[in-house]
Amino acid sequence: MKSRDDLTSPATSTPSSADAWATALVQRAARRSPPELAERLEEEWLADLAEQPGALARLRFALGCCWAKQVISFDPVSFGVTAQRAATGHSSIAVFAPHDNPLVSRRALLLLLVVAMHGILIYGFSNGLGHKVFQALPPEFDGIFIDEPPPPVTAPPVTRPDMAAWTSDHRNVVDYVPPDLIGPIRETQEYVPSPAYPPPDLPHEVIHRPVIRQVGGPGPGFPSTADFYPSVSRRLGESGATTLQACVDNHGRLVSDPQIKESSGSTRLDAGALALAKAGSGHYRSSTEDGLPVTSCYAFRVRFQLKE
Amino acid sequence: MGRQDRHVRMSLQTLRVLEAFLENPTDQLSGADVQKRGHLSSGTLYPILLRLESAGWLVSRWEQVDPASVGRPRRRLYRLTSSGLRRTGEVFATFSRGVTA
Repeated sequence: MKSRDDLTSPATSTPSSADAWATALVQRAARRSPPELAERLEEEWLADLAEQPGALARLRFALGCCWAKQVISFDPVSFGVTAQRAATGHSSIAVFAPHDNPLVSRRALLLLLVVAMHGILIYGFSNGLGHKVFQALPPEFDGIFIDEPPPPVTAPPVTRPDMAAWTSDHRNVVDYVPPDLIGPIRETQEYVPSPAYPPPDLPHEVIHRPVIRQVGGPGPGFPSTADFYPSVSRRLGESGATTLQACVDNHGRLVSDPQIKESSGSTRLDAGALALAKAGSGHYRSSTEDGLPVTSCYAFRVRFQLKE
Repeated sequence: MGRQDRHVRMSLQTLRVLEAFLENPTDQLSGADVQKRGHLSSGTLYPILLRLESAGWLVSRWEQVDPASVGRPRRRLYRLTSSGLRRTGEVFATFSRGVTA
């Protein structure tokens, strides 16, 4: 371990080992500390450096001393100590009065400054400071003010079919779910008349034109959900909606057993919905194509809901 | 000249330094000794030692050895003052009691 007098400035030497680097770092850090502490810190840190176990520990110690120098230099008054001139026999003691705590600490002042700056910026931008800045800018800084986009055009509400014609209990509503028309889609290359309606006179050639389809659903006289609300579910306060699929002929009668497409989450309610759907056979509205009833399958929802 | 006994803001690292001295309050420890006991880095340790000394909780002096004869630089030794010992005891007593809600 070199003595203090033998150590050279890092600027003029080329350290060849970690120890030399560590010593150079410690010296550099100490000498850049406040002048009143520099001599003491250099001797103190070099002495403690010698006690570190291993080259890596010494290097880490030296780097820590560099950070310590930063902290001490940032606020040297708060680190005021009695500096005693040693070794040469000087007995004068330079005493640095301890820093009296101010009314507001440095940290509090910085915080207030940051908060004030933020407040000024927020106030300024909320009062059109951005516009004024652009106006004050030289011509090469052209700003474009983007107006607010026009409100989106909302689609008109979809009109639902009139439910009152076929339900008598407003508490338990059968929801109409129109879009799923399940079944074969027939192209209009050949007209197959329904037995209920006489075939119109058609030209002999095949007419290709779009078919106007309308999906059916529960019709007049369809049973009320109140009659099929399971008593156990009523007592338990269960409510829910079951989506069913029914295949209905052109007379409104079921051609097969209804199927559950989406469960309500309760087997009791699902069973009630199935019973309702079966009981409604003969009271369904058939789907139509070009105004003529056809056999088709479609989905509808049965909701059991207790009145509040 | 007496040093004014001032309050020191406590941090976990400051508590570790004080704890190192409390192991034997009459011991005189160098920075390296405190570093070993408190498991602190040098960048944290020396500012704390200087603050505590400035606040009058510690006092320091140079080791009374001849570097040439011992073959190493002399160390700076720190020791708790009486007021520092008292204030340290108060601090640890406060933490032992906990913070009342």
